[in-house]
Amino acid sequence: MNEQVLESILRKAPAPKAPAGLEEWLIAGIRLEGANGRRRESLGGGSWWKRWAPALFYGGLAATCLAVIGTQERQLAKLRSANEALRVQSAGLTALRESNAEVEKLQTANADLARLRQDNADIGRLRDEIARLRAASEGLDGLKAENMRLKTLAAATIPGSQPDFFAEANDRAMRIVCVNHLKQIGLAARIWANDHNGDYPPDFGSMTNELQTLSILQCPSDKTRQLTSWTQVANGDVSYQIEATGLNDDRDNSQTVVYECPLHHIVCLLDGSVQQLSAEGMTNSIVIDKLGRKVFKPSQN
Amino acid sequence: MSDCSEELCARARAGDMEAAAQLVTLHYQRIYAFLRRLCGNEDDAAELTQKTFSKAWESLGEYAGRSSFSTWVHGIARYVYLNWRRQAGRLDGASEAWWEAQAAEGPSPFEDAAERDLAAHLYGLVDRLDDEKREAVHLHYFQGLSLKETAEALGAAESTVKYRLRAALDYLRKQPLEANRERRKQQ
Repeated sequence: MNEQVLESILRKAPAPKAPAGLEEWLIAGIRLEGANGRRRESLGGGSWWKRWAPALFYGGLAATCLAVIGTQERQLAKLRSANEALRVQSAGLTALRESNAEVEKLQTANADLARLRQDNADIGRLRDEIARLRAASEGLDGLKAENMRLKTLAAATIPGSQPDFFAEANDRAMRIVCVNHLKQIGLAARIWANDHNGDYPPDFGSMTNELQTLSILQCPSDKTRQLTSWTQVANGDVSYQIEATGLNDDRDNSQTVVYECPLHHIVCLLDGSVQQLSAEGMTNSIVIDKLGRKVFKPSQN
Repeated sequence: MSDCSEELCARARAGDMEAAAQLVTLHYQRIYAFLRRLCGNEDDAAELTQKTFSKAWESLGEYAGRSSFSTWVHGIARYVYLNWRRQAGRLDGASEAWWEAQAAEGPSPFEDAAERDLAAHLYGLVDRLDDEKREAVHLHYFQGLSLKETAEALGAAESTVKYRLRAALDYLRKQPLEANRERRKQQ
């Protein structure tokens, strides 16, 4: 079958007739919007909405933009006013800083003034002191003359009995040197003990490396010997006595007497400290423990 | 008729009930026929026709006159039909028997009964086409709309309508119509 025939048959398709009464039904169902419809359309119908929706959208968008711009403008104005206020405060701050610097400068000047006053007072006091010393010096000259007179008088009265005025000072100085020697000996012994698990050296000859010089083992008041070599030390020819041997830094009483100067009654204890005692102090403050060692025990008196 | 319909349409938009009634009288038969062929029974066709005109009156304000009133109403009818079909889940069109009955009723454009049978069978084949081609055939051949009007009613391009019609004709042409007709005669 060719195409023309086919199309011809298709165009001749029967048209079924509408049932009776359909036309009347359709006519009865007519609901025209008419004038009211147009009014409704302009007020809010679907077509009205479709027609005006874009305009409303862009209008709303523009209104929103304007509102946002207005808000931003208000915020900007607030920020500007705040900025202005801060600027004014900043100007005041500069003035305040300047005045503060001025105050600091005045305080510095005041401190300088106070210091000058103090110096002035010191100068005045020193002047008074000088005047007093000058007066005392004048008196000293009188005392010197009196002293010379008394010396002359004493020499004239008891020939050969001129007193040694510096003997006491010399003795004190000797004791001080001796104390120093014993301290250095105690320190050397502790160093030695530190290298030997706390055991103290059995003799002075063992500490030759720890002792700085030979003269430390020579008491200045000891006129009976003169140390010149370490051989003497090895032979025990030293001014100081070893009071206890076989001591241990950790095990034994720290107040145990280790070294002693028999001339000055100065003792060096196990803990390295040095005690100056008198002959009476040696009796009262030194006790003998059960091992037969001397232990320093200060008397309660 | 087109100019007349446009004038009536303008009056109906202004609220003229008489003009609207005349529009119904002018077009309801064609719309009913269109829907009757598609949906397969009279009651549904009548109801869909009523819905079609109700939609038309509701949307009359939107009718801009870019197409003829007839084309516009056909487009609404197609929309109403598709909507009904989707909701009802209906897939069947008019049966071949119905086409034969239609062909037998009243004066026929066909020369003899054999030709009528052939036509009825051809119309039945049309209903087996897929929806797009079927609608195009219904609107263009059965309803007599031009290509342009068919395209407007379908909301498709004219070239698309041409393509669908060509495909439909090719399909129909390839069917064994003659052999089928002979077989039916023997039965």
